[in-house]
Amino acid sequence: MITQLFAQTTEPIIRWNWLGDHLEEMWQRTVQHVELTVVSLALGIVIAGVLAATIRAFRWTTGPITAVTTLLYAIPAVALFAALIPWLGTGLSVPIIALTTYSLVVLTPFLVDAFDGVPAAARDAADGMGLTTRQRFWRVEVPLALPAVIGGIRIASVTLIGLVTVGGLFDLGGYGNLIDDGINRSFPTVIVVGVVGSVLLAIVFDLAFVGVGHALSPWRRAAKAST
Amino acid sequence: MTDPAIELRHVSKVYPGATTPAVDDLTLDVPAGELVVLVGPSGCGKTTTLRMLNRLEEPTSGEIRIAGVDVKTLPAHELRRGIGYVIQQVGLFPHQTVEANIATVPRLLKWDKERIRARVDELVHLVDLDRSLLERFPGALSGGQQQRVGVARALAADPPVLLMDEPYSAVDPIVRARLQDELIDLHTRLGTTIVFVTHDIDEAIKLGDRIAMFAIGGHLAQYDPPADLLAKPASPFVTEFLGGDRTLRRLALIRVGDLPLHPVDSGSVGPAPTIDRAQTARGALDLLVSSGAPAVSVLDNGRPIGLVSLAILSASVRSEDNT
Repeated sequence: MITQLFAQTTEPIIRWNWLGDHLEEMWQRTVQHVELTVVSLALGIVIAGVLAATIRAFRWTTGPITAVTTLLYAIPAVALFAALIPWLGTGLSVPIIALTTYSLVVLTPFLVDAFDGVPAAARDAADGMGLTTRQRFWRVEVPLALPAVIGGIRIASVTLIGLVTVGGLFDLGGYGNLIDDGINRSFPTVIVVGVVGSVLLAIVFDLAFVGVGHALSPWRRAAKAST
Repeated sequence: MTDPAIELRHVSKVYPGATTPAVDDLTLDVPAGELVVLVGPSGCGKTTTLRMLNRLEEPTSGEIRIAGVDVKTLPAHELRRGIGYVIQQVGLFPHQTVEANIATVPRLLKWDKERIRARVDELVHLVDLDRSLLERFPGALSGGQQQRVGVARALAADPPVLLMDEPYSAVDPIVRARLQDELIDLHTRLGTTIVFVTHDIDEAIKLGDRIAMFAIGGHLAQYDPPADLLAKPASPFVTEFLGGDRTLRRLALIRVGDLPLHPVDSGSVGPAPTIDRAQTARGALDLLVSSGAPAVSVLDNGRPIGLVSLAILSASVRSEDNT
Protein backbone atom coordinates (compact mmCIF):
# COMPACT_ATOMS: atom_id res chain seq x y z
CA MET A 1 0.00 0.00 0.00
CA ILE A 2 2.72 2.41 0.96
CA THR A 3 4.91 1.41 -1.96
CA GLN A 4 1.99 2.06 -4.30
CA LEU A 5 1.51 5.38 -2.67
CA PHE A 6 5.07 6.44 -3.35
CA ALA A 7 5.02 5.01 -6.89
CA GLN A 8 1.79 6.60 -8.09
CA THR A 9 1.98 10.03 -6.67
CA THR A 10 3.82 12.94 -8.16
CA GLU A 11 4.28 14.32 -4.70
CA PRO A 12 7.93 14.82 -3.63
CA ILE A 13 9.02 12.74 -0.64
CA ILE A 14 9.37 15.88 1.43
CA ARG A 15 7.69 19.23 1.01
CA TRP A 16 9.98 21.39 3.07
CA ASN A 17 7.54 24.32 3.32
CA TRP A 18 5.00 21.98 4.99
CA LEU A 19 7.47 21.49 7.84
CA GLY A 20 7.76 25.20 8.47
CA ASP A 21 3.99 25.61 8.52
CA HIS A 22 3.36 22.69 10.90
CA LEU A 23 5.96 23.09 13.62
CA GLU A 24 3.27 23.28 16.26
CA GLU A 25 1.59 20.06 15.13
CA MET A 26 4.92 18.25 15.01
CA TRP A 27 5.77 19.49 18.50
CA GLN A 28 2.35 18.38 19.80
CA ARG A 29 2.81 14.89 18.30
CA THR A 30 6.27 14.68 19.84
CA VAL A 31 4.92 15.57 23.26
CA GLN A 32 2.16 12.96 22.91
CA HIS A 33 4.64 10.33 21.80
CA VAL A 34 6.95 11.06 24.73
CA GLU A 35 4.03 11.09 27.18
CA LEU A 36 2.70 7.74 26.02
CA THR A 37 6.18 6.19 26.12
CA VAL A 38 7.15 7.56 29.53
CA VAL A 39 3.86 6.76 31.26
CA SER A 40 3.74 3.23 29.82
CA LEU A 41 7.39 2.65 30.69
CA ALA A 42 6.88 3.87 34.25
CA LEU A 43 3.83 1.67 34.76
CA GLY A 44 5.66 -1.21 33.10
CA ILE A 45 8.59 -0.85 35.52
CA VAL A 46 6.25 -0.89 38.52
CA ILE A 47 4.32 -3.95 37.34
CA ALA A 48 7.45 -5.76 36.14
CA GLY A 49 8.96 -4.94 39.54
CA VAL A 50 6.13 -6.74 41.26
CA LEU A 51 6.43 -9.69 38.87
CA ALA A 52 10.21 -9.85 39.32
CA ALA A 53 9.88 -9.72 43.11
CA THR A 54 7.36 -12.56 42.90
CA ILE A 55 9.73 -14.63 40.75
CA ARG A 56 12.62 -14.00 43.13
CA ALA A 57 10.54 -14.97 46.15
CA PHE A 58 8.88 -18.01 44.56
CA ARG A 59 11.05 -19.43 41.79
CA TRP A 60 8.29 -21.78 40.60
CA THR A 61 6.42 -18.71 39.30
CA THR A 62 9.15 -18.08 36.70
CA GLY A 63 7.50 -20.40 34.14
CA PRO A 64 3.91 -19.14 34.49
CA ILE A 65 4.88 -15.44 34.58
CA THR A 66 7.19 -15.78 31.57
CA ALA A 67 4.49 -17.68 29.68
CA VAL A 68 1.83 -15.05 30.35
CA THR A 69 4.00 -12.02 29.50
CA THR A 70 5.25 -13.71 26.34
CA LEU A 71 1.71 -14.63 25.32
CA LEU A 72 0.57 -11.02 25.84
CA TYR A 73 3.51 -9.82 23.76
CA ALA A 74 2.47 -12.19 20.99
CA ILE A 75 -0.89 -10.45 20.54
CA PRO A 76 -0.51 -8.31 17.39
CA ALA A 77 -0.49 -4.65 18.36
CA VAL A 78 -3.19 -3.74 15.83
CA ALA A 79 -5.47 -6.41 17.25
CA LEU A 80 -4.87 -5.36 20.85
CA PHE A 81 -5.61 -1.69 20.12
CA ALA A 82 -8.71 -2.65 18.12
CA ALA A 83 -9.92 -4.88 20.96
CA LEU A 84 -9.46 -2.27 23.69
CA ILE A 85 -11.02 0.72 21.93
CA PRO A 86 -14.65 -0.47 22.17
CA TRP A 87 -14.16 -0.83 25.93
CA LEU A 88 -12.12 2.22 26.74
CA GLY A 89 -12.65 4.65 23.87
CA THR A 90 -9.88 6.56 22.17
CA GLY A 91 -8.43 8.21 25.26
CA LEU A 92 -4.88 7.73 26.51
CA SER A 93 -5.81 4.64 28.51
CA VAL A 94 -5.87 2.33 25.48
CA PRO A 95 -2.33 2.94 24.24
CA ILE A 96 -1.01 3.06 27.80
CA ILE A 97 -2.56 -0.28 28.73
CA ALA A 98 -1.38 -1.90 25.51
CA LEU A 99 2.15 -0.50 25.72
CA THR A 100 2.54 -1.30 29.41
CA THR A 101 1.50 -4.88 28.66
CA TYR A 102 4.10 -5.18 25.91
CA SER A 103 6.87 -3.75 28.09
CA LEU A 104 6.58 -6.54 30.67
CA VAL A 105 8.16 -9.24 28.54
CA VAL A 106 11.34 -7.17 28.26
CA LEU A 107 11.46 -5.60 31.71
CA THR A 108 10.60 -8.57 33.94
CA PRO A 109 13.56 -10.84 33.09
CA PHE A 110 15.95 -7.87 33.17
CA LEU A 111 14.79 -6.96 36.68
CA VAL A 112 15.12 -10.56 37.88
CA ASP A 113 18.65 -10.86 36.47
CA ALA A 114 19.64 -7.43 37.78
CA PHE A 115 18.70 -8.22 41.36
CA ASP A 116 20.02 -11.79 41.15
CA GLY A 117 23.31 -10.22 40.09
CA VAL A 118 23.79 -8.24 43.31
CA PRO A 119 26.85 -9.85 44.96
CA ALA A 120 25.82 -12.21 47.76
CA ALA A 121 28.72 -10.94 49.87
CA ALA A 122 27.38 -7.36 49.75
CA ARG A 123 23.98 -8.62 50.83
CA ASP A 124 25.46 -10.73 53.63
CA ALA A 125 27.61 -7.83 54.82
CA ALA A 126 24.57 -5.51 54.76
CA ASP A 127 22.66 -7.93 56.98
CA GLY A 128 25.65 -8.42 59.24
CA MET A 129 26.13 -4.65 59.66
CA GLY A 130 22.54 -4.35 60.85
CA LEU A 131 20.75 -2.82 57.86
CA THR A 132 17.05 -3.57 57.96
CA THR A 133 15.57 -5.38 54.97
CA ARG A 134 14.27 -2.07 53.61
CA GLN A 135 17.60 -0.29 54.11
CA ARG A 136 19.39 -3.17 52.41
CA PHE A 137 17.02 -2.93 49.45
CA TRP A 138 17.31 0.82 48.86
CA ARG A 139 20.92 1.39 49.90
CA VAL A 140 22.59 -1.74 48.56
CA GLU A 141 20.44 -3.81 46.20
CA VAL A 142 18.86 -1.05 44.11
CA PRO A 143 22.08 0.88 43.42
CA LEU A 144 23.92 -2.33 42.53
CA ALA A 145 21.11 -3.62 40.30
CA LEU A 146 20.61 -0.26 38.57
CA PRO A 147 23.09 -0.61 35.68
CA ALA A 148 21.48 -3.89 34.58
CA VAL A 149 17.97 -2.50 35.10
CA ILE A 150 18.79 0.45 32.87
CA GLY A 151 19.94 -1.99 30.19
CA GLY A 152 16.40 -3.42 30.20
CA ILE A 153 14.77 0.00 30.22
CA ARG A 154 16.77 1.01 27.13
CA ILE A 155 15.46 -1.93 25.13
CA ALA A 156 11.91 -1.48 26.44
CA SER A 157 11.85 2.25 25.64
CA VAL A 158 13.00 1.73 22.05
CA THR A 159 10.42 -1.04 21.61
CA LEU A 160 7.64 1.13 23.01
CA ILE A 161 8.52 4.16 20.90
CA GLY A 162 8.10 1.93 17.84
CA LEU A 163 4.82 0.52 19.11
CA VAL A 164 3.30 3.92 19.93
CA THR A 165 3.17 4.61 16.17
CA VAL A 166 0.83 1.63 15.73
CA GLY A 167 -1.67 3.45 17.95
CA GLY A 168 -1.67 6.22 15.37
CA LEU A 169 -3.67 3.98 13.05
CA PHE A 170 -6.48 4.39 15.58
CA ASP A 171 -5.85 8.07 16.11
CA LEU A 172 -4.45 7.45 19.59
CA GLY A 173 -1.77 10.14 19.41
CA GLY A 174 1.94 10.47 18.70
CA TYR A 175 3.83 10.20 15.42
CA GLY A 176 1.55 7.36 14.37
CA ASN A 177 -1.18 9.90 13.74
CA LEU A 178 1.10 11.67 11.26
CA ILE A 179 1.93 8.42 9.49
CA ASP A 180 -1.76 7.41 9.31
CA ASP A 181 -2.70 10.84 8.11
CA GLY A 182 -0.04 10.73 5.41
CA ILE A 183 -1.22 7.36 4.16
CA ASN A 184 -4.88 8.46 3.99
CA ARG A 185 -4.04 11.66 2.15
CA SER A 186 -1.32 10.14 -0.08
CA PHE A 187 1.00 12.78 1.34
CA PRO A 188 4.53 11.36 1.85
CA THR A 189 5.92 14.37 3.73
CA VAL A 190 3.86 13.62 6.84
CA ILE A 191 4.79 9.93 6.70
CA VAL A 192 8.48 10.78 6.55
CA VAL A 193 8.11 13.22 9.43
CA GLY A 194 6.39 10.55 11.54
CA VAL A 195 8.95 7.86 10.76
CA VAL A 196 12.03 10.05 11.18
CA GLY A 197 10.59 11.57 14.37
CA SER A 198 9.97 8.15 15.84
CA VAL A 199 13.47 6.94 15.03
CA LEU A 200 15.11 10.11 16.36
CA LEU A 201 13.08 9.86 19.55
CA ALA A 202 14.23 6.27 20.04
CA ILE A 203 17.85 7.37 19.65
CA VAL A 204 17.39 10.28 22.08
CA PHE A 205 15.80 8.00 24.70
CA ASP A 206 18.52 5.40 24.33
CA LEU A 207 21.32 7.95 24.70
CA ALA A 208 19.55 9.58 27.63
CA PHE A 209 19.37 6.28 29.51
CA VAL A 210 23.00 5.53 28.72
CA GLY A 211 23.82 8.90 30.28
CA VAL A 212 21.65 8.25 33.32
CA GLY A 213 23.24 4.84 33.85
CA HIS A 214 26.69 6.37 33.54
CA ALA A 215 25.88 9.13 36.02
CA LEU A 216 24.38 6.73 38.57
CA SER A 217 27.24 4.22 38.61
CA PRO A 218 30.54 6.10 38.88
CA TRP A 219 31.89 3.12 40.84
CA ARG A 220 31.82 0.87 37.79
CA ARG A 221 34.23 3.12 35.91
CA ALA A 222 36.53 3.29 38.95
CA ALA A 223 36.64 -0.50 39.17
CA LYS A 224 37.31 -0.85 35.46
CA ALA A 225 40.09 1.72 35.52
CA SER A 226 42.03 -0.29 38.09
CA THR A 227 41.94 -3.63 36.28
CA MET B 1 38.00 -14.19 85.29
CA THR B 2 35.40 -11.58 84.35
CA ASP B 3 32.02 -12.65 83.03
CA PRO B 4 32.25 -14.34 79.65
CA ALA B 5 31.48 -12.04 76.72
CA ILE B 6 29.64 -14.76 74.85
CA GLU B 7 27.85 -17.78 76.31
CA LEU B 8 26.36 -20.60 74.28
CA ARG B 9 24.13 -23.04 76.15
CA HIS B 10 23.07 -26.31 74.51
CA VAL B 11 22.84 -24.62 71.13
CA SER B 12 21.74 -26.80 68.21
CA LYS B 13 21.00 -25.96 64.62
CA VAL B 14 19.21 -28.27 62.23
CA TYR B 15 18.68 -26.83 58.75
CA PRO B 16 15.26 -27.49 57.23
CA GLY B 17 15.33 -30.77 55.34
CA ALA B 18 18.61 -31.91 56.91
CA THR B 19 18.68 -35.19 58.81
CA THR B 20 21.76 -34.42 60.92
CA PRO B 21 22.31 -31.22 62.88
CA ALA B 22 24.83 -28.64 61.61
CA VAL B 23 25.59 -27.76 65.23
CA ASP B 24 24.87 -30.31 67.93
CA ASP B 25 24.26 -29.31 71.57
CA LEU B 26 27.09 -26.80 71.76
CA THR B 27 27.96 -25.26 75.11
CA LEU B 28 30.85 -22.79 75.06
CA ASP B 29 32.02 -19.65 76.86
CA VAL B 30 34.10 -16.99 75.13
CA PRO B 31 35.92 -15.03 77.86
CA ALA B 32 35.78 -11.25 77.50
CA GLY B 33 38.73 -9.80 75.64
CA GLU B 34 39.97 -13.10 74.23
CA LEU B 35 40.48 -14.10 70.62
CA VAL B 36 38.78 -17.45 70.19
CA VAL B 37 39.25 -19.39 66.96
CA LEU B 38 36.63 -21.86 65.73
CA VAL B 39 38.46 -24.37 63.57
CA GLY B 40 37.56 -27.62 61.86
CA PRO B 41 36.97 -29.28 58.50
CA SER B 42 34.31 -27.92 56.16
CA GLY B 43 30.82 -28.91 57.21
CA CYS B 44 31.70 -29.00 60.91
CA GLY B 45 29.34 -26.17 61.83
CA LYS B 46 31.93 -23.52 62.70
CA THR B 47 30.53 -20.88 60.33
CA THR B 48 26.96 -21.72 61.35
CA THR B 49 27.99 -21.21 64.98
CA LEU B 50 29.48 -17.82 64.15
CA ARG B 51 26.41 -16.75 62.19
CA MET B 52 24.14 -17.69 65.07
CA LEU B 53 25.97 -15.19 67.29
CA ASN B 54 24.65 -12.23 65.26
CA ARG B 55 21.48 -14.09 64.28
CA LEU B 56 22.24 -14.43 60.58
CA GLU B 57 21.16 -17.97 61.47
CA GLU B 58 18.65 -18.74 64.21
CA PRO B 59 19.41 -21.68 66.53
CA THR B 60 16.91 -24.53 66.48
CA SER B 61 17.29 -24.80 70.25
CA GLY B 62 19.47 -23.51 73.05
CA GLU B 63 20.40 -20.07 74.27
CA ILE B 64 23.05 -17.52 73.27
CA ARG B 65 24.01 -14.59 75.49
CA ILE B 66 26.28 -11.73 74.57
CA ALA B 67 27.39 -9.53 77.49
CA GLY B 68 24.77 -11.30 79.56
CA VAL B 69 21.90 -10.42 77.20
CA ASP B 70 19.94 -13.15 75.42
CA VAL B 71 20.37 -12.28 71.72
CA LYS B 72 16.76 -13.22 71.01
CA THR B 73 15.50 -10.34 73.13
CA LEU B 74 16.84 -7.71 70.70
CA PRO B 75 15.63 -6.99 67.17
CA ALA B 76 18.20 -8.67 64.88
CA HIS B 77 19.29 -5.44 63.16
CA GLU B 78 19.90 -3.68 66.49
CA LEU B 79 21.90 -6.61 67.82
CA ARG B 80 24.05 -6.64 64.66
CA ARG B 81 24.86 -2.93 64.85
CA GLY B 82 26.60 -3.70 68.15
CA ILE B 83 28.67 -6.59 66.75
CA GLY B 84 31.47 -6.22 64.21
CA TYR B 85 31.31 -8.61 61.25
CA VAL B 86 34.02 -9.42 58.70
CA ILE B 87 33.61 -12.02 55.94
CA GLN B 88 35.90 -13.81 53.53
CA GLN B 89 34.67 -12.06 50.38
CA VAL B 90 34.93 -8.81 52.41
CA GLY B 91 31.53 -7.73 51.09
CA LEU B 92 32.40 -4.07 50.73
CA PHE B 93 29.63 -2.16 49.00
CA PRO B 94 31.09 -1.64 45.50
CA HIS B 95 28.96 1.45 44.82
CA GLN B 96 30.13 3.32 47.90
CA THR B 97 33.49 4.97 48.53
CA VAL B 98 35.85 3.50 51.09
CA GLU B 99 34.86 6.32 53.44
CA ALA B 100 31.13 5.61 53.08
CA ASN B 101 31.77 1.90 53.57
CA ILE B 102 33.63 2.48 56.82
CA ALA B 103 30.89 4.86 58.00
CA THR B 104 28.09 2.30 57.43
CA VAL B 105 27.26 1.47 61.05
CA PRO B 106 27.84 4.98 62.50
CA ARG B 107 25.37 6.27 59.89
CA LEU B 108 22.84 3.61 60.86
CA LEU B 109 23.31 4.74 64.46
CA LYS B 110 22.73 8.34 63.30
CA TRP B 111 25.99 9.76 64.60
CA ASP B 112 26.53 13.40 63.56
CA LYS B 113 28.85 14.14 60.64
CA GLU B 114 31.72 15.51 62.70
CA ARG B 115 31.81 12.45 64.91
CA ILE B 116 31.72 10.11 61.91
CA ARG B 117 34.55 11.97 60.19
CA ALA B 118 36.69 11.89 63.31
CA ARG B 119 36.02 8.17 63.77
CA VAL B 120 36.85 7.35 60.14
CA ASP B 121 40.17 9.19 60.57
CA GLU B 122 40.92 7.19 63.67
CA LEU B 123 40.07 3.88 61.98
CA VAL B 124 42.13 4.58 58.87
CA HIS B 125 45.09 5.10 61.19
CA LEU B 126 44.24 2.01 63.25
CA VAL B 127 44.17 -0.43 60.31
CA ASP B 128 47.10 1.30 58.58
CA LEU B 129 45.32 2.48 55.44
CA ASP B 130 46.46 5.38 53.29
CA ARG B 131 44.08 8.34 53.73
CA SER B 132 44.09 8.95 49.98
CA LEU B 133 42.11 5.71 49.54
CA LEU B 134 39.05 7.14 51.31
CA GLU B 135 37.61 8.68 48.13
CA ARG B 136 38.18 5.56 46.03
CA PHE B 137 35.71 2.80 45.31
CA PRO B 138 36.46 -0.72 46.62
CA GLY B 139 36.98 -2.03 43.07
CA ALA B 140 40.15 0.05 42.82
CA LEU B 141 41.74 -1.49 45.93
CA SER B 142 44.02 -4.53 46.33
CA GLY B 143 42.77 -7.60 48.22
CA GLY B 144 44.76 -6.71 51.32
CA GLN B 145 43.52 -3.10 51.29
CA GLN B 146 39.93 -4.29 50.89
CA GLN B 147 40.32 -6.61 53.86
CA ARG B 148 41.69 -3.72 55.99
CA VAL B 149 38.71 -1.58 54.98
CA GLY B 150 36.46 -4.50 55.95
CA VAL B 151 38.02 -4.58 59.42
CA ALA B 152 37.78 -0.79 59.77
CA ARG B 153 34.11 -0.96 58.79
CA ALA B 154 33.46 -3.73 61.31
CA LEU B 155 35.16 -1.76 64.10
CA ALA B 156 33.57 1.58 63.21
CA ALA B 157 31.11 1.78 66.09
CA ASP B 158 33.66 0.29 68.51
CA PRO B 159 31.76 -2.95 69.09
CA PRO B 160 32.74 -5.04 72.14
CA VAL B 161 32.54 -8.19 69.99
CA LEU B 162 34.01 -8.80 66.53
CA LEU B 163 33.07 -11.81 64.38
CA MET B 164 35.39 -12.83 61.56
CA ASP B 165 34.43 -15.55 59.06
CA GLU B 166 37.53 -16.90 57.26
CA PRO B 167 38.62 -13.32 56.56
CA TYR B 168 42.04 -14.11 55.12
CA SER B 169 41.46 -17.24 53.06
CA ALA B 170 41.17 -15.32 49.78
CA VAL B 171 44.41 -13.30 50.06
CA ASP B 172 47.89 -14.52 49.16
CA PRO B 173 50.09 -16.03 51.90
CA ILE B 174 52.38 -13.00 52.32
CA VAL B 175 49.51 -10.56 52.71
CA ARG B 176 47.71 -13.07 54.93
CA ALA B 177 50.67 -13.28 57.33
CA ARG B 178 50.83 -9.49 57.54
CA LEU B 179 47.08 -9.17 58.15
CA GLN B 180 47.33 -11.82 60.88
CA ASP B 181 50.13 -9.88 62.60
CA GLU B 182 48.05 -6.70 62.33
CA LEU B 183 45.06 -8.47 63.87
CA ILE B 184 47.14 -9.71 66.83
CA ASP B 185 48.38 -6.17 67.33
CA LEU B 186 44.88 -4.72 67.00
CA HIS B 187 43.50 -7.23 69.47
CA THR B 188 46.22 -6.41 72.00
CA ARG B 189 45.52 -2.69 71.69
CA LEU B 190 41.70 -2.75 71.67
CA GLY B 191 40.92 -5.73 73.87
CA THR B 192 37.90 -6.53 71.70
CA THR B 193 36.45 -10.00 72.12
CA ILE B 194 37.01 -11.72 68.78
CA VAL B 195 35.49 -14.93 67.42
CA PHE B 196 37.42 -16.02 64.35
CA VAL B 197 36.48 -18.88 62.01
CA THR B 198 39.09 -20.66 59.91
CA HIS B 199 39.80 -24.10 58.45
CA ASP B 200 43.55 -23.46 58.69
CA ILE B 201 45.05 -24.96 61.87
CA ASP B 202 48.25 -22.90 61.53
CA GLU B 203 46.20 -19.70 61.48
CA ALA B 204 44.23 -20.93 64.50
CA ILE B 205 47.41 -21.65 66.49
CA LYS B 206 48.97 -18.34 65.51
CA LEU B 207 45.96 -16.18 66.38
CA GLY B 208 43.97 -17.95 69.06
CA ASP B 209 44.05 -17.36 72.80
CA ARG B 210 41.81 -20.40 72.74
CA ILE B 211 40.87 -22.81 69.99
CA ALA B 212 37.50 -24.51 69.68
CA MET B 213 37.99 -27.51 67.42
CA PHE B 214 34.87 -28.79 65.72
CA ALA B 215 34.34 -32.27 64.29
CA ILE B 216 31.95 -33.15 61.47
CA GLY B 217 28.38 -33.18 62.71
CA GLY B 218 28.73 -29.98 64.72
CA HIS B 219 30.37 -31.53 67.79
CA LEU B 220 32.88 -29.61 69.84
CA ALA B 221 35.92 -31.92 69.83
CA GLN B 222 38.11 -29.82 72.12
CA TYR B 223 38.25 -26.29 73.54
CA ASP B 224 41.65 -25.27 74.91
CA PRO B 225 44.49 -22.78 74.53
CA PRO B 226 46.75 -23.73 71.58
CA ALA B 227 49.58 -25.09 73.75
CA ASP B 228 47.19 -27.42 75.62
CA LEU B 229 45.52 -28.50 72.39
CA LEU B 230 48.90 -29.49 70.95
CA ALA B 231 50.14 -31.10 74.17
CA LYS B 232 47.00 -33.05 74.99
CA PRO B 233 44.76 -33.73 72.01
CA ALA B 234 41.47 -35.00 73.40
CA SER B 235 40.78 -37.52 70.66
CA PRO B 236 42.30 -39.22 67.63
CA PHE B 237 40.30 -36.76 65.48
CA VAL B 238 42.05 -33.78 67.08
CA THR B 239 45.45 -35.45 66.75
CA GLU B 240 44.83 -36.11 63.09
CA PHE B 241 43.60 -32.58 62.41
CA LEU B 242 46.66 -31.11 64.14
CA GLY B 243 48.89 -33.02 61.73
CA GLY B 244 52.18 -34.89 62.01
CA ASP B 245 54.47 -32.07 63.18
CA ARG B 246 52.62 -31.45 66.42
CA THR B 247 55.85 -31.27 68.45
CA LEU B 248 57.33 -28.64 66.14
CA ARG B 249 54.14 -26.57 66.43
CA ARG B 250 54.40 -26.80 70.21
CA LEU B 251 58.00 -25.61 70.14
CA ALA B 252 56.82 -22.66 68.03
CA LEU B 253 54.63 -21.54 70.95
CA ILE B 254 57.49 -21.54 73.52
CA ARG B 255 59.87 -18.59 73.88
CA VAL B 256 63.49 -19.61 74.45
CA GLY B 257 63.73 -17.03 77.24
CA ASP B 258 61.12 -19.00 79.19
CA LEU B 259 63.06 -22.29 79.09
CA PRO B 260 65.21 -23.49 82.04
CA LEU B 261 68.55 -22.66 80.42
CA HIS B 262 72.01 -24.01 81.22
CA PRO B 263 74.08 -21.32 82.90
CA VAL B 264 76.48 -19.64 80.49
CA ASP B 265 79.59 -20.57 82.49
CA SER B 266 78.84 -24.28 82.73
CA GLY B 267 81.92 -25.55 81.00
CA SER B 268 83.31 -24.33 77.74
CA VAL B 269 80.93 -24.83 74.87
CA GLY B 270 82.99 -23.08 72.29
CA PRO B 271 81.56 -20.54 69.88
CA ALA B 272 77.80 -21.26 69.89
CA PRO B 273 75.20 -19.86 67.48
CA THR B 274 73.04 -17.20 69.16
CA ILE B 275 69.31 -16.50 69.39
CA ASP B 276 67.33 -13.69 71.04
CA ARG B 277 65.31 -14.69 74.11
CA ALA B 278 62.07 -13.52 72.41
CA GLN B 279 62.51 -16.07 69.60
CA THR B 280 60.75 -19.43 69.70
CA ALA B 281 62.08 -22.80 70.79
CA ARG B 282 61.40 -23.94 67.26
CA GLY B 283 63.88 -21.32 66.03
CA ALA B 284 66.44 -22.65 68.50
CA LEU B 285 65.91 -26.20 67.24
CA ASP B 286 66.37 -24.98 63.69
CA LEU B 287 69.73 -23.46 64.68
CA LEU B 288 70.82 -26.61 66.54
CA VAL B 289 70.09 -28.81 63.56
CA SER B 290 71.51 -26.49 60.92
CA SER B 291 74.72 -25.60 62.82
CA GLY B 292 75.40 -29.02 64.35
CA ALA B 293 76.45 -27.23 67.55
CA PRO B 294 75.58 -28.90 70.89
CA ALA B 295 73.92 -25.75 72.23
CA VAL B 296 72.63 -22.30 71.24
CA SER B 297 73.48 -19.20 73.24
CA VAL B 298 70.40 -17.21 74.30
CA LEU B 299 70.79 -13.42 74.24
CA ASP B 300 68.99 -10.72 76.16
CA ASN B 301 69.72 -7.33 74.60
CA GLY B 302 72.82 -8.85 73.03
CA ARG B 303 74.12 -10.30 76.33
CA PRO B 304 74.22 -14.10 76.71
CA ILE B 305 71.96 -15.25 79.54
CA GLY B 306 72.18 -19.03 79.08
CA LEU B 307 72.48 -21.95 76.74
CA VAL B 308 69.76 -24.10 75.25
CA SER B 309 70.42 -27.67 74.17
CA LEU B 310 68.44 -30.37 72.44
CA ALA B 311 67.92 -32.02 75.85
CA ILE B 312 66.25 -28.86 77.19
CA LEU B 313 63.98 -28.55 74.16
CA SER B 314 63.05 -32.19 74.40
CA ALA B 315 62.37 -31.93 78.13
CA SER B 316 60.15 -28.88 77.61
CA VAL B 317 57.87 -30.78 75.31
CA ARG B 318 57.84 -33.95 77.43
CA SER B 319 57.24 -32.16 80.72
CA GLU B 320 54.17 -30.49 79.25
CA ASP B 321 52.89 -33.89 78.25
CA ASN B 322 52.95 -35.01 81.86
CA THR B 323 51.09 -32.06 83.38
